[in-house]
Amino acid sequence: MNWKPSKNFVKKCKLNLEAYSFLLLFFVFYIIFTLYPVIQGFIVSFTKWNITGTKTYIGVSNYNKLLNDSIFWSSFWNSTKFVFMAVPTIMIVSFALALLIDSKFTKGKVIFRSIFFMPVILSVSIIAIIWSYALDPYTGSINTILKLFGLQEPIFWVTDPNIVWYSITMLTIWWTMGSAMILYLAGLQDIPADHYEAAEIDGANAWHKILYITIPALNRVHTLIMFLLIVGSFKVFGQVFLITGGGPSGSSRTLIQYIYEIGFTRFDMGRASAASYILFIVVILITAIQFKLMKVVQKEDVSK
Amino acid sequence: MRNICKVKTFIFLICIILIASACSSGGNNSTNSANNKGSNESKGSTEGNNEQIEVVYWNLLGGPDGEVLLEIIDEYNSLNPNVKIISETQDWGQYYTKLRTAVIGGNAPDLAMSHMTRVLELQDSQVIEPIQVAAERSGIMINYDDYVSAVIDDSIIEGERYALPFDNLLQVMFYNKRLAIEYGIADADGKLDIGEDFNSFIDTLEKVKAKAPAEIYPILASQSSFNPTITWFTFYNQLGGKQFLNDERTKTTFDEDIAIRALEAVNRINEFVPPRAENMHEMFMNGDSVFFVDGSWGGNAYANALGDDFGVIPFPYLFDVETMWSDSQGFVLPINPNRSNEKTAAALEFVKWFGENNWKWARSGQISATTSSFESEEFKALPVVNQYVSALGKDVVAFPSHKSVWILFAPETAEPMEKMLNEGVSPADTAKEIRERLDEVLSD
Repeated sequence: MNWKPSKNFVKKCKLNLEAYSFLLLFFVFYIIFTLYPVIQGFIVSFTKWNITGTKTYIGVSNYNKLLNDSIFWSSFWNSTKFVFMAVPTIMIVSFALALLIDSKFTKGKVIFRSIFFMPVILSVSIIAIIWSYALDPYTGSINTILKLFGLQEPIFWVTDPNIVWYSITMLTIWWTMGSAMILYLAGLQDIPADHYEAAEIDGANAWHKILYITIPALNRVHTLIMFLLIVGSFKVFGQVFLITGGGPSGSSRTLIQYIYEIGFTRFDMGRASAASYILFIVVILITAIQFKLMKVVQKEDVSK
Repeated sequence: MRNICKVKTFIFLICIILIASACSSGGNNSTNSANNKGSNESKGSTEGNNEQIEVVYWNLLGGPDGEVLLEIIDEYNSLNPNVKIISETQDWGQYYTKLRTAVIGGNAPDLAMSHMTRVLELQDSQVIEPIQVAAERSGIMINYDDYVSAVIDDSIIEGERYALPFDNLLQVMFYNKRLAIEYGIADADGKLDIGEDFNSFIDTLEKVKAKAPAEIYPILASQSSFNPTITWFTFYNQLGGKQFLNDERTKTTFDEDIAIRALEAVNRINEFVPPRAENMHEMFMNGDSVFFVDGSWGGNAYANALGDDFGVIPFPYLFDVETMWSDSQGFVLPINPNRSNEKTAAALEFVKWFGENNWKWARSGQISATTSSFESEEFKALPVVNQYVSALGKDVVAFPSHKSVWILFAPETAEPMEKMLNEGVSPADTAKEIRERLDEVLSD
């Protein structure tokens, strides 16, 4: 008996073919420009290579050297420190802003939304210029204003190793809070008003409403923003490098700057690749934990 | 259904065409991407004048000495209408990275400059070719004996000359003549009296501190980047220290005790300097300090800002040995297979002319690199440079070259020094840390 494909089957094949042919385009570029360099990088991390010479296989020597290099660890710690400082503060600040803008007492929602979002569209070079001038200890705008309020000794915003990371976190919040704020604003629109009304009837005040209705309802937005912020914060480089150059005396050198210096100032490509892979693995582990978290959160949502 | 299929196919084809054209239009077009800060001449079309040879010259000379370079290039271009030297100034901190990646990527400039102490690194990483061989091949006769530099030997590697210096760099002590006279450390003509040795120099600074108001500092000297490293190196050699690195240049061999004494001297001077000031050159130009330790490269700018109050002396001999730090900047020829023989010849003609007219470059505050320039009337008439020309012919010492570490600017020296000056780390610990960190990278 001949098996004749049904009309449905043929239609499915045709649609699949179209879908795959569009995807093929993407995959070609993905393989050439993402997958291939990633695999090459892994291979290079086991070699000694100065970009113009030949690659010499040296086993795990690069990884050994890194794990014994105190500058590697201090850079790693600096990036991690930034993750711990920036992620919660950006989330809290942008959430608070979103609440304020969304509140029924606020006039001019659109204007405020635009104002707080505007820094996001500035490029990192502009941010660096603005904040380098603002944070100058003797002639910068921040210290000058503080002097009017009675500041005696100049604050060394980016030249005091104890303060520099607070300054960097502060300017990063100013720069990037707009995007998280927009995501929160969008999430806030999805919360049905009757939840709040029901809570009011039960005697909840504004703080209770935020704590027990708003925050839990935005669980998915929290997880998404936290995920994006953690990955992005581990990769922090631009604004730090342009404003402090890794100073003072290396106390604000991030892991990415370390990789850049090893790879493009020292041209030790093998070790730079190895450092990149260590960062890659750390970020993958954290992402995996986060995905697990997301699944747990989703299960809770479904079971409600 | 058919219409939707047609639309989908159409979109698919458009995507392919767009992507294909995007890929093909990113070709090498170095003349179009030339950031032509230099020439005052109209840009015009690069294909317009078939006879004009364009030479792209990469340098790291931003700031006031960069302006002098652009004037010199304009003059050369107007004297030689069949050649156009295009100056592309790169960011100082990223220059060497950019040069190397440009050569690797096939976008190398036709001519470049380099600190002489980095020529070994450029040669070892196959970024430059021997300049003398290229000159001889192009039939350009350069008088190599005319060139004098503390670091010229470092540019001759395996018997081949890889660079030609175009200046000599010195660390100098700028001072404000008016303030010096006011606080009694200079005579009525502005001639300084700082004593004969380190202790009398410190006494001079104490004297200024006692007499000057709080907002005028006795001395300014940067606590970051290469400046403290230069001062430390000068003191190390003035204290009789030798042999900073071993002969193979794989580890440090500087004498620990002398190094610590030199660090203590740098620390002592730093006690008079405001902490962590970022814009010391602006402060000096505003008249906020009496002394300013900086390089000869700032001379032009400070002379213009301070006018009659401007004074400068070569960095003084504060210890037993009369020597000081020096380096040079010079021309190098990047390896560039796209550079035609005509371009190479044009570039090297410019190099030769620059050497023969080297006094013009001394207007920037640097000292010339050719004997004929020192002896010329024009050089002797230059107001700024002739104030430290007494340093000429004296003993100078440069950092040893290395194939991957530029000790002058390396974080392995700069960061421990910054910690000592700003965070109170002891000179003994600093010397140890510098040795450990340098030994790590020197033997890589």
